Amino acid sequence: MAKSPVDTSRRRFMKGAVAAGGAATFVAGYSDPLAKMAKGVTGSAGEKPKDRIHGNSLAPEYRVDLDTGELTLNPDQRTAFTICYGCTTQCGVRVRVDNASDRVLRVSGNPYHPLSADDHLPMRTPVAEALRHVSAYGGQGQVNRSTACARGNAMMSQLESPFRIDHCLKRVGGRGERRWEKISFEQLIEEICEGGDLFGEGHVDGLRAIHDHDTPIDPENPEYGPKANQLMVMEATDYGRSELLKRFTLNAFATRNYGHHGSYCGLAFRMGSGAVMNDLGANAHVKPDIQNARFIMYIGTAPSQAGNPFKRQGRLIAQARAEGTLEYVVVDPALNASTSHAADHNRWVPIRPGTDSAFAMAIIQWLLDNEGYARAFLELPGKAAADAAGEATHSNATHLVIDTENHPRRGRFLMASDLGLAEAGSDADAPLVVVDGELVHGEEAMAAELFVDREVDLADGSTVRVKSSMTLLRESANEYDLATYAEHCGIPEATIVELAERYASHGRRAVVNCHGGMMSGNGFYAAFAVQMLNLLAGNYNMKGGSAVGGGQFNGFSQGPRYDLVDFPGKRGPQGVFLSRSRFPYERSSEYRRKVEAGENPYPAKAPWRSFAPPTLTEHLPSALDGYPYPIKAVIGCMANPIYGQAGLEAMIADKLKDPKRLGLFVAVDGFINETNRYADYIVPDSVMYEVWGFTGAWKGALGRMTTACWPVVEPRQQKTAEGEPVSMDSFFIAVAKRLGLSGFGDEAIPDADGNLHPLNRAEDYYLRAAANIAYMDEPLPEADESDVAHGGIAPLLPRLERTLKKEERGRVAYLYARGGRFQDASDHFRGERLTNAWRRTLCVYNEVVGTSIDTMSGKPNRGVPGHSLPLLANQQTMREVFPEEEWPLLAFSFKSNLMNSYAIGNERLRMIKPYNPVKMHREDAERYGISHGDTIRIESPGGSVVGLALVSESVMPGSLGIEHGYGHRDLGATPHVIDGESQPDMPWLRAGININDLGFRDPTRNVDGTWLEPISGASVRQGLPVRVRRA
Amino acid sequence: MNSMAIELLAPRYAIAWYPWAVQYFFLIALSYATLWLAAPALVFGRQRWLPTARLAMLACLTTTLVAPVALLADLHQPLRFWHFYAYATSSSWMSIGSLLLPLYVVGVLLLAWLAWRPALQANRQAPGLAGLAARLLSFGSAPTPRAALVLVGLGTLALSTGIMLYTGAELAVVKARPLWNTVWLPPMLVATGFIAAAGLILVLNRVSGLRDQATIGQMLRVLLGACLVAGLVAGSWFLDGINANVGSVAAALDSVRHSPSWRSTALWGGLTGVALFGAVLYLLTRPAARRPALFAWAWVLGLVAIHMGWMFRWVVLMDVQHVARNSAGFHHYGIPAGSSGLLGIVGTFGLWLAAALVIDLLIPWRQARQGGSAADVSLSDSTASSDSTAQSDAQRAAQKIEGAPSHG
Amino acid sequence: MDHLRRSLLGQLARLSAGAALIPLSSVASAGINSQPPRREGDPTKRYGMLIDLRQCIGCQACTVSCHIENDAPMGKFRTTVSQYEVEHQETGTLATFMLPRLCNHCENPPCVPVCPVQATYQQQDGIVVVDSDRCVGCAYCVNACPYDARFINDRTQTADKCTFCAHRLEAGLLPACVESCVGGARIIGDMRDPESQISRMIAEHRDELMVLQPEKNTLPQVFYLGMDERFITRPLAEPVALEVLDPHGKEMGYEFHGH
Ligand SMILES: Nc1nc2c(c(=O)[nH]1)N[C@H]1C(S)=C(S)[C@@H](COP(=O)(O)OP(=O)(O)OC[C@H]3O[C@@H](n4cnc5c(=O)[nH]c(N)nc54)[C@H](O)[C@@H]3O)O[C@H]1N2
Ligand SMILES: Nc1nc2c(c(=O)[nH]1)N[C@H]1C(S)=C(S)[C@@H](COP(=O)(O)OP(=O)(O)OC[C@H]3O[C@@H](n4cnc5c(=O)[nH]c(N)nc54)[C@H](O)[C@@H]3O)O[C@H]1N2
Ligand code: SF4
Ligand code: SF4
Ligand code: SF4
Ligand code: SF4
Ligand code: SF4
Ligand SMILES: [Mo]
Repeated sequence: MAKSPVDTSRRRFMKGAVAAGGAATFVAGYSDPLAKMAKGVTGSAGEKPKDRIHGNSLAPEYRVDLDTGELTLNPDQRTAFTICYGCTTQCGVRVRVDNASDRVLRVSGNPYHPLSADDHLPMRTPVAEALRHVSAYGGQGQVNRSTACARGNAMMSQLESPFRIDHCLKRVGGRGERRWEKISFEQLIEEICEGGDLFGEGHVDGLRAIHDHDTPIDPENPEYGPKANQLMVMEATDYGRSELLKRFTLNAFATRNYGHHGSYCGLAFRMGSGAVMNDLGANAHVKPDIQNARFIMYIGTAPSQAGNPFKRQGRLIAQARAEGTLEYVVVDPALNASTSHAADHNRWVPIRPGTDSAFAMAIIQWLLDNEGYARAFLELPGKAAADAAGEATHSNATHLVIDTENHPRRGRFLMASDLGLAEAGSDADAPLVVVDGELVHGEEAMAAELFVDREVDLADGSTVRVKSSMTLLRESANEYDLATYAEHCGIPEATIVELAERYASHGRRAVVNCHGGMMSGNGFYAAFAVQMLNLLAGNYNMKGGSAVGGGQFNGFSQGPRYDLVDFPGKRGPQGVFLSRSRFPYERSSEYRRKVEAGENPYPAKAPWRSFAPPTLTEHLPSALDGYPYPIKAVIGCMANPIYGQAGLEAMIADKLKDPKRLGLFVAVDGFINETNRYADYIVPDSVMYEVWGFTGAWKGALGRMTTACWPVVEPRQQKTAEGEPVSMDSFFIAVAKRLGLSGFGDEAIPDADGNLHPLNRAEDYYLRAAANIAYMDEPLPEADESDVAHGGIAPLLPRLERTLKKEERGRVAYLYARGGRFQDASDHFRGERLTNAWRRTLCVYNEVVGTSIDTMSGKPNRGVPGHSLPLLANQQTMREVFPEEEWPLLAFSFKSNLMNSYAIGNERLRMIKPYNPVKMHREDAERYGISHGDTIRIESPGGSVVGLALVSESVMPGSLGIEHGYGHRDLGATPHVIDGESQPDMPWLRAGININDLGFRDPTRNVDGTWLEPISGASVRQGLPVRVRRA
Repeated sequence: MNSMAIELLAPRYAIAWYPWAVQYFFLIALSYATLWLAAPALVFGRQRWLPTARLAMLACLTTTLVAPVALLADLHQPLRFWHFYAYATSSSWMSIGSLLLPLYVVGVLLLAWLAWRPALQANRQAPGLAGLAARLLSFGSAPTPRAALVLVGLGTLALSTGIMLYTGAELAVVKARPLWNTVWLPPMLVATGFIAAAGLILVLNRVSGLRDQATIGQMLRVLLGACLVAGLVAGSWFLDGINANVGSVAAALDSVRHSPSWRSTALWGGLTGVALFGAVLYLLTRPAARRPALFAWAWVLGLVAIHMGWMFRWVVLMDVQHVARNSAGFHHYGIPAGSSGLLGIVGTFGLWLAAALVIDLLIPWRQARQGGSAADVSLSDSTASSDSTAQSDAQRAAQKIEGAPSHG
Repeated sequence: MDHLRRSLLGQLARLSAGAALIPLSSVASAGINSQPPRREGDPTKRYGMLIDLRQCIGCQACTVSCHIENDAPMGKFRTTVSQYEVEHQETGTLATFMLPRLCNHCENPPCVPVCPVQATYQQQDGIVVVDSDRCVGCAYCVNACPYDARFINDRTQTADKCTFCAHRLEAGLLPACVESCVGGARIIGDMRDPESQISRMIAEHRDELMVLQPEKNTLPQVFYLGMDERFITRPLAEPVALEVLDPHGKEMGYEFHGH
């Protein structure tokens, strides 16, 4: 075995080589530490933070001496009050800005603001005092906080998002190909207004051509109105600027077709509420006065999980839990953040999705059977009685409804005029009621019989059957027995009875609240029934009851300083909405032609909804299908129906891409979302904190309030030739001026003396609205220097000077220094009653509803709430078309308490919750062989998605819960190419699933439509039929 | 399901110590254990252990050199290592360790130098780098007094117990990780350190070509003993904690109950331990005649033993960090491929290999002595190629193994 | 056994909360596992926090505002709020349990004595801080904190944790998480001042307060009201599903994990 020397040296060489290899591996393996050592030569292997102890923590915005309370501002920063647009709650917030970089450092609540503060400070508080109030001084800050939620904190990254659009874009290639070129604002305006062969795809009508008020769209159907209606404008929610958009749309360009997101937000609820509150025009709604209520049933809305106002409700319910003043239940298919294990007196009651009408009617039945209603209140027949009883209003519980089929007045209230006791429509005409068996004029009785069912001879000689509203309600409630209701909604009979008992036992401090959970196939009647519970408790306008809130200080009004409603040359839109809303089908040419031809006019080609507001859910699909008429252009502002409306994308995407169906699609937005991805042009808009506007509270704040926002940081997008930031405002102003529309330009805004003022830039409009607000009622005082400094409004002053009259400036500054105008909290109650009351007659029976006709079946709609199964457009139940054997589960969605529909780009939210697993009940999981954490495929009649199963008992068996806000395809989820350069690819923005991808086209319709709630046209997102399997 | 709740939201916690820590704990354990395996011959003069001691000294020096390199890498601020000395803190075992470690390293270096010096002196005439190294490192031709070697050896052994203590205590005091927080962890680290060290020597014995039968026998016995001790420690740990509701055993049982990966690790560890013990016992109880044939395969057991020692540290240091402390369940991490993961692990081994080979190339470690001078080292040994030396050494050793006990 | 164990711990949690209210002698003697003397900070104060879980709505405003205020790296947290679905022990009803966590600024903080260079130390006002100039990034303290309250900041390469927003307290302001606590659950204050809100609440709810992992004898100074004793140690829960799937069901990993 002896080795030769050659061998030996070779071995030595080999060893050397291996040693060198080992050393090389080491160097590679040690690269991190080596790099750290290299960096460490500077004293640290990392970034050296500003402070050895506090690291890179922000420098405080001001200091407060804890002994004296003296407050010293940090000269490098400013704090300014504005609006958060982290969700539609639109809280007033305090934004900390770094003066040097104009970057937002952090956001917290505005202490004057009712949606952010525990007890909001009175307006007259000096701003310095308000800032001291949220400090640690005297422990005040945490007794009375003013906060921004997680989103409210994180959303500041929207400003600097890599996906933000900061330049005017024109599409390259076909629609939706995600390729764009940058163009100047001026080119954009010219092309949009003048049209032409803009994309090499043939001629496109510009807005000038469309702006035609002389030619009817369709001479066959003159009621459709002029060609100007072929421009459709849609926006998401009121960002505080809707009034300017509507000024352009409805009164300058004057198209009929303006639509917002309501129909896929909560319209079914809003209309159910409007039905009870006798306000199917604006669909008013209420929220519980949580602080004083004793028992609340949340049915399909989830305080602290979502709900509007998100923060305020969350905070109040939390306080009530700690104080033990309130008992509440949350009736929801899934457990969520609204019930707390840490406290008593709150609990989750699981319900099957889409079955709330059964639950609510069951409760109604029990209440009626057990006299669990506010008898004295309901017996009040009219205003006189209400006044005498010290009530702000009364109900129509005792009013009599004509219930004879085919009678021309079927469904109407029996009026004094019906008996010839008054002139119809006159002041003296009023509903009749029964007192001691006698028919009495409602204004003359102090109390009337609740349950009436009798015949009455009318003045015209006919005899009709009349029933009181309460009788009709009872009949409706008794259509099914408790057991049937219980079985349908999945809540045990005993639980229903127990809840009804508790509800009744708390009298007028028992309240119900509902919202998104009503977006089901029978949502309108479900919401009508739920809201009826508030009426039965008689809790409207009561402390601890249902509060309508104080509304806004509306500056966009014929205010004390400027008239922002009327202007020379103002026009009103004419014709039928694309969604065929608020127009009785029976007055259409189509109806007339059918009747003339001797055909049954029903069903209509597609639903006409006589008392629903215009619905975006119908607008777009109908327009693309050309029924009632085709359109030529769409301007979308910050709207994303394709992400938000169940089933829309699969149904319309291809049509939307077709320039023949839609000539021009302009989007005004800060981002490219799933909808405006298909646009021809994108106008870069300001993003939160850079925006002008005024918002109110939806509800839930008891006082009157208006939140103000102004560009507290300079908008980061492109500027117009005049040096104004391109935005929604400058876009509409420029278009209006180019088209020569009135209401914009040099002589647009009349002041109180009739002098005309210009509307050439955003602030011309908003600052004048601010002046109106500041001067309303008792005018606000003038801001002093300290207010200006502490409210961070120094950058605003030159604009006030440039725009407003001298005397207005100080008061407007006072308003902006406080972020708006807010009624004092001390004004909220008058004794046991709420100061801000609802004064219309509350409806047990809603006459508008009860006299309307379902245009698909030709049958009258029911004027009181009632139970039915989820319905498709032709009134077939969903289960008849999509049977349980095939689609055994019902999917529903709930809002994320963290994400919203457009927050996915915020990494600080993603890092907390990057994904939305699907909630599934253990029994179902076992049935389909699925375990916790499995990847599952969910299929529906309209689509299919893949998700992760979260198996638990915290969801109703048979249903599948999907958190909303994930599963994006745009907003950064797929890179767009702009001027040949790709946006970053961030795969994590695509994570998760969107239940709306499981929505579907309603197969019972002739004109394409997704599944919509029949009465309201609201998008159905709760109770979608699906099946699952392991993927 | 035996849980009372479903966790919907909890953050992902990263591990704080990376695989570098495993490398350090592994290498430093090899270092102190091999030191003790070198000691019978080098320090206490047991001639029969000399072949083992030569291998052990090589292993000891190389691991001692590489271990601190791995340790440094686990610092996020490696260049601030001097803070350890500027702000020494008596309450911190890590600080204590930082004081001990350099002393220990110096001790090992001195010891190796003393052990190798006679051979270096003898090698001064060698051609090439080896000769240069010998000239540079042998520092004159004065003989190396055995007393110096003994003294330095004893001192280093003492320091090594400090290392054993501090490395064990550093983990054992951490209440935050119940799995570490037991007095049984330090002895277990030592026992598994000896298992790995014996394994390493078995492997070195093979790859160096020495194939010393005596070494194999000795190491198998060490293995047996260390396995026994490890078993005893594990048993005591278990019995000590079985009835406790909190603490290390409870946490371990919890982990094994709830995590499939812990279950398989426990199973794997248990089975390998028992298999190793069984195999060693089997080899040692074979009739003398069959041993050489069987012993030729002992290096395989050596590999298993190394694996045991390393895996134990991996589980203790890495897997334990995956047990969530505040939230439910376990955090699962893939080892990253790069520097802070796989590449780092491989890199440290690479460095060790390089160190071993460089020493092999430059230093006549095979002629290590218990002191003395160049004259004691046979010239032929020093001039012959190391491979043939190895051969003859091995042959001599093989002959000796059956012979009379040496004078040691 | 488990039940017993937990209720024993629950007992301990309460007792320790009580015991810890008498702040220990602030000069702890140095020695193995007892911390080096406290230094810096205002010796007349002892900061602590009380979290009223009944008022926590799980909104994570604290998590995000802290993250922004203190410039924490993505995916690392000085405070977090875990969310659980829990069955009520008696009634069996399911409800949501939110558990905000942050550094407890322990009276006997195990993170301090282990620090080999005394970079992490306790101020005389009880706030446990890290001197990032001195920290060698050994992460020993990270492992030594039973509450996962610390992490290595990848940007500074040093240990990072909640400071009770000492920079804001010094300025007379509230910590970010307290200031933005939507539910009003977080109360911070000086426990040596009997008039402070926290002192008053502690006095009022003394018997109900609990701390986390009392058996570790760390004497946490973050007290919980409305705590379920099953959560004072690592909860026996079905762990959170951490997979993130893309639209095709492919696992995408976690965007923000450093190593
Ligand atoms: N965190 C957060 N808050 C928000 C928003 C947000 O994006 N994020 N957005 C704001 C907006 S725009 C709105 S409109 C409001 C809406 O606020 P909510 O109405 O509170 O929210 P939703 O999630 O739409 O629905 C409420 C609940 O209905 C439940 N539900 C689903 N189907 C059914 C059903 O068939 N029956 C019953 N009873 N319940 C059902 C869901 O599980 C959900 O918990 O929230 C506002 N607040
Ligand atoms: N399945 C399911 N579907 C739902 C819901 C649900 O809970 N579940 N919720 C429904 C509800 S309640 C609503 S209200 C709707 C919401 O749906 P929409 O109101 O249509 O849309 P949003 O997603 O709120 O989109 C607004 C768009 O504005 C843009 N944007 C965001 N921030 C800014 C900004 O600061 N400046 C500008 N200029 N643009 C900005 C973004 O492009 C964003 O997509 O979705 C509904 N859809
Ligand atoms: S609830 Fe939160 S996200 Fe919504 S507006 Fe208010 S602060 Fe912003
Ligand atoms: S919670 Fe952790 S980091 Fe904070 S003081 Fe206690 S042990 Fe130290
Ligand atoms: S990471 Fe820094 S603070 Fe923590 S123990 Fe090590 S040196 Fe001390
Ligand atoms: S006190 Fe400051 S550092 Fe600590 S958790 Fe709250 S915000 Fe974060
Ligand atoms: S901010 Fe307050 S209410 Fe919201 S999660 Fe944090 S502790 Fe809970
Ligand atoms: Mo909404």
